[in-house]
Amino acid sequence: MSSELRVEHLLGRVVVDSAGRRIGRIEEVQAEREGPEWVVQSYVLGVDGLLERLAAGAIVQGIVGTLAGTRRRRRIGWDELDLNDPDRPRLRSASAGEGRRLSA
Amino acid sequence: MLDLVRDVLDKQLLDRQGRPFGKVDGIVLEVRADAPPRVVALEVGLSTRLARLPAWLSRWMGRLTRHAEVTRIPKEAVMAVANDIRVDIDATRTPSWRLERRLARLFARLPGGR
Amino acid sequence: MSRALQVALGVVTAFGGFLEAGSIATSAQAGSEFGYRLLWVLALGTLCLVFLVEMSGRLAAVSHHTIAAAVRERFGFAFYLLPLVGMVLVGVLTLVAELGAICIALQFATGIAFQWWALPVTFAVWALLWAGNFDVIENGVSLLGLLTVVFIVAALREQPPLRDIAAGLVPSLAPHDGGRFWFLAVSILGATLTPYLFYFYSSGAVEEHWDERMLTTNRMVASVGMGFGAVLAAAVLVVSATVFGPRGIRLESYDQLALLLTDSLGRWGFALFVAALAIACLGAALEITLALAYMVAQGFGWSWGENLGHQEAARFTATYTVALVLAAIPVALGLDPMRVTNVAMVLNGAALPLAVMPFLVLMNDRDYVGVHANGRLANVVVLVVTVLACVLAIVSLPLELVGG
Repeated sequence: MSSELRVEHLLGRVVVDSAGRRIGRIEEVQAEREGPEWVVQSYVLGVDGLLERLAAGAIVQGIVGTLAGTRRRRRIGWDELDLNDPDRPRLRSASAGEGRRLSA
Repeated sequence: MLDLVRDVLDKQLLDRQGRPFGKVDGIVLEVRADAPPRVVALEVGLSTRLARLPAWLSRWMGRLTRHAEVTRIPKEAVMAVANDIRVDIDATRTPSWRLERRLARLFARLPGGR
Repeated sequence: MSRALQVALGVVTAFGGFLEAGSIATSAQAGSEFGYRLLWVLALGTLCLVFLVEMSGRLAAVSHHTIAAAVRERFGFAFYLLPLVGMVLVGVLTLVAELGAICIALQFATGIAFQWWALPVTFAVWALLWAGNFDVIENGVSLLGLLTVVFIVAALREQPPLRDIAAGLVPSLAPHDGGRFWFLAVSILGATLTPYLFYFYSSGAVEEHWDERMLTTNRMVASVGMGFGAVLAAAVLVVSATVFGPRGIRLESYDQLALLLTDSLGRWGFALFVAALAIACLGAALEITLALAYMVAQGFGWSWGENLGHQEAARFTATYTVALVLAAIPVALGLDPMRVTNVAMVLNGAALPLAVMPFLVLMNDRDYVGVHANGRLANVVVLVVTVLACVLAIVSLPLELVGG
């Protein structure tokens, strides 16, 4: 069974783990070419999702010249995100420790 | 690797003739069981745009979308993703061009101009 | 076209957009009430403007995007709406001020009340956009705008004390009437830093297909053009300080302002003032209208451009038509042009962060400007002045509306 979903609605949605804890907000949807198809490979979650998109940090960085705190980001695979309820995406793995951590 | 939000969403669309005809307002994914979601289409349209606003605002503006025309661009039509997104479509034949055409007809009645 | 000619044209265009109803009115008011003591605000605003104009040219040349288009693409539709609505509201109000000033000038010339000129003037502006193309409009109006040099001539003839002028360039606090001083300060900042100027500049740069080779020219045009424009505004301030200052006149209407040049230029002073005011504001009206239409069209991804005919850019044409119609209404209804000008300038100041912040982020984003990202000085100056203007505006506008 397949259904339709929109990238612009996923953007900014809070992802929780199976225990209901907030993991982060969906910041980016990354796709790769598979033959004629563009297929979603991973999602990038930001801990300060909206601020990241606005990159308020970039201005502060440019002025102060130092990082205003490390922006924590994390990439999860397409199979780690349960989108049965598109408004409330859930992390599929058992613990919150899964998913590769990315530093800014 | 294509960043759909950074490199596709809200990017300028150019048709077959290089004519600008809007920005990518939406990207439609097909979610499949036991397979990664795949990109199905790009969308241009007022209702798509309004749906991205916070709920209280889009509800209030929802009345505007009664005559909404959404142009769906199947992913097969996408030719290039670079600074802009080039699609193999004739913009003048899309629903999103209707307003442009109506206004152009109106202006054609006025003298002078080019 | 030779580099020198390009720069010359760019400079003429640039300062043509600088001096308009807001700059003339606020500079004159500042001069009459505080002498030369607000010159430093004009200088600070101009410095900030030079940075902003240079940045908008750089963004266009390197990323081939205009500011509005880039803001939509980088931040998404929802966030883009915020600066758009702010810019449109303030822009239309500023357009009302410009149209009002042109009509007032015609009232001085003919004796027919300004309200009656609202429709003909608005139609004339519309017709110029409808029938003209970018180069003709820009160059034509800018060359006519050279008439504003008459303010410099008048300033020189007044023989103002240079020491006082120099002292005015040093930042100082209010000598008296603190509320009014800072109100005029933010009015000057708002009049100098009208967002339509640098939004328009980036559109022009894209229309002219600028690329990285234009970066040096861009820097020259920004600094010399804006610098010269500031000199014009300063000249208005100086003349006003020497003519109205000693008499303690507070300028509340264009009627009083019309006598600005009669002291130094005699009988011609009145006619020259009227002509300079009309032409400067005509240039500004054209630029604001185009800037508004550009902002909307570029954000929505429509075809845009003054070089495109209305058949190819119908929605763009419709946008500037609607903007002009809306702006004509308050003028036709007889709303006091000087009051509108004052309010419009302060609101420009208040709206600055909305226009500038997203722009600043873009100028630090290597995806857009590559290796040509902002230096620290540019970021600091723009950020400081913008926040200062906004804070001043929020504080002083209510006070002025209540007290004035």
